[in-house]
Amino acid sequence: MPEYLVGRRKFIALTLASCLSMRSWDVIAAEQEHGALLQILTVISTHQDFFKHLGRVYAKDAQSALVKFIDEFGLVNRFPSVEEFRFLLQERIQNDFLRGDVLSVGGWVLSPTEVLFCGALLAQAHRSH
Amino acid sequence: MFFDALKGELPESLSVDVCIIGAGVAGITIAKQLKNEGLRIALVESGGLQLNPDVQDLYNGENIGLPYDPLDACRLRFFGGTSNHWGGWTRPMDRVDFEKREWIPWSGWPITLDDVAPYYEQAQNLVEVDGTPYDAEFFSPESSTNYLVDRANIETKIFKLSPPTRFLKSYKVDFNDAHSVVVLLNSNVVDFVLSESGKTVQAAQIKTLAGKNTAVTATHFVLACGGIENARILLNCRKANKSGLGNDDDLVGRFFSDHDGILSGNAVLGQRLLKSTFYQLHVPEIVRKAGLNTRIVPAFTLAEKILREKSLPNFNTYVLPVPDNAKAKGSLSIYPDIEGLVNFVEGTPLHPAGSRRFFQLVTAFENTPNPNSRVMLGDKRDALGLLRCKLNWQRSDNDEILARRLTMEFSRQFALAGLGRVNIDKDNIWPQKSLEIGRHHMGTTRMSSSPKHGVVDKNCRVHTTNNLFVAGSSVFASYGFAQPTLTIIALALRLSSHIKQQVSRA
Repeated sequence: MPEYLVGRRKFIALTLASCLSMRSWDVIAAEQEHGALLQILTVISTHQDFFKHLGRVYAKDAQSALVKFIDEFGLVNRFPSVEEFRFLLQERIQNDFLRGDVLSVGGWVLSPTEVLFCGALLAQAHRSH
Repeated sequence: MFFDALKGELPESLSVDVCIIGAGVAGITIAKQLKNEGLRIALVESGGLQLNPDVQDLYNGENIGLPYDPLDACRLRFFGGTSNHWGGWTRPMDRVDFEKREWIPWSGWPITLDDVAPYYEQAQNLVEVDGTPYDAEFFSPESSTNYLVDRANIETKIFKLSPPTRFLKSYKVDFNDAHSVVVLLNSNVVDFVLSESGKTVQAAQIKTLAGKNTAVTATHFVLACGGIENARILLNCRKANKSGLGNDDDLVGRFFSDHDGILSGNAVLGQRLLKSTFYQLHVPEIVRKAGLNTRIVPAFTLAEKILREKSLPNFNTYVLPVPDNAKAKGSLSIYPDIEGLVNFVEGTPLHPAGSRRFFQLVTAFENTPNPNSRVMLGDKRDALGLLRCKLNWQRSDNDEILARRLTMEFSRQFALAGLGRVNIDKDNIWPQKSLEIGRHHMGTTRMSSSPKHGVVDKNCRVHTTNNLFVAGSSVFASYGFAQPTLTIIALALRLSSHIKQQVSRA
């Protein structure tokens, strides 16, 4: 069996378990049914293979990835527009690459912010399921 | 004037001012330069005016190192030399290529780009590319197509394509009626006659495949037989010194190198970049700039300050479209998602289904000079009685270190510039498995300021002699990434000026 499948099972179990405790996020998300963040988080949420690979990086800590992402972007208190969010994201990613702060995920050279973003998407996708 | 030894036209003896051995790109360039300077020239060529299997067989040899082309297949032995099958890519070396850099052991020339630069424009004329600069800035502002990308630390390098010029077809005519130049065809230099001191070459001994012999005496001799053969001829001259002519310090034949290429990664490009026609223009799709006859090819590199800061070799990276079926392997299967991410972050729309394009990055970089990579003499003899070549091509361990470092840094800078994301197959990036080498034979009579570190001095004179010069890429001390032909010609032009000055003084 390929290594990533083992990791994925473990990851899914962890993710499901951890997402059950995300009460505050559920409430916020429900209140913002048509919020920009939900739109953002669903933009590429259909790409399960992508999550599978990128999620491996956060397999042990998908919940904290989401919490950290939301916290660092100040999304709990303020849901920006998609464009504002994109600007924040771009700025963070630029700074990551500028500092030389990069991660290799399946060979892809990405910024930690990108991976964090994808980890958050991953957690959100599984929470939705 | 042409004299074909196999037609019985070999003179019993010949005395000239300059004897040039080898009628390839370097030898023909020097002969053309000197033929109207009041000098008597002999241009001695092993082959005739077309490929002769018996002559070509003299190139046969043994490969005992890394896999390499058969030695009689990667070069041509008749008038015009290897220009008769070259690809035509030209580019000058960069300033950094001449410099000693601590992270590239043995790097550095005893001359700088300033010493060679004055000859590049004339070299461009000889290979029939326009005399405009190779600077991306020259092409960018006036271009109607946006094929240059200079963002952040990513820069564009320009290559120009010669038709390609075949020196036989283009320049034989220069010698048909040139009374100052005697071209000896099917004439092989098999040894040099040295003065009693062993420092002055008095004559080149010539032998034909039919067994005839003669000698050419001259005041100046230029060995211009190619990156492998220059070393082999010197090593075979063992009368005065058993280790070979100019080989007192066991350096002749060492530092053999070719230009390596690696499949450095795969890239997903942002929509913004895909709109640029840059990516439609790479091999085999080549642009022809409006108003100029020269075709150019652009490629990526990093700013020189980054090469220095990050201790990287000089390099360039081509971006090549690949068929969609190449995307479905391993981690590359997620590339559509990376593409989605890139476009989301960049604020550009996702590609319509089925329209995605996937790109392969091919990087050519300068290899680290390796003294253990060398041209040696084998045990077998050729039809002239000379020991055949034994090639032991070895990469430096430093090559892998630098290749991995530059690939990672390029990927980071590529993303930082907002051009896309790169996937590195780190397990397979080294050693290279399938990418072709350049068939650029370099370094075997390297230029140095001291005989302890090289074979020829800054004027291409063999350190241990007064009047034997070497022309061609065998004198390259470090190699850059550019195809060597233009620099071979520029150095040959420079050597011509030097010899002319020397003769004038005499």
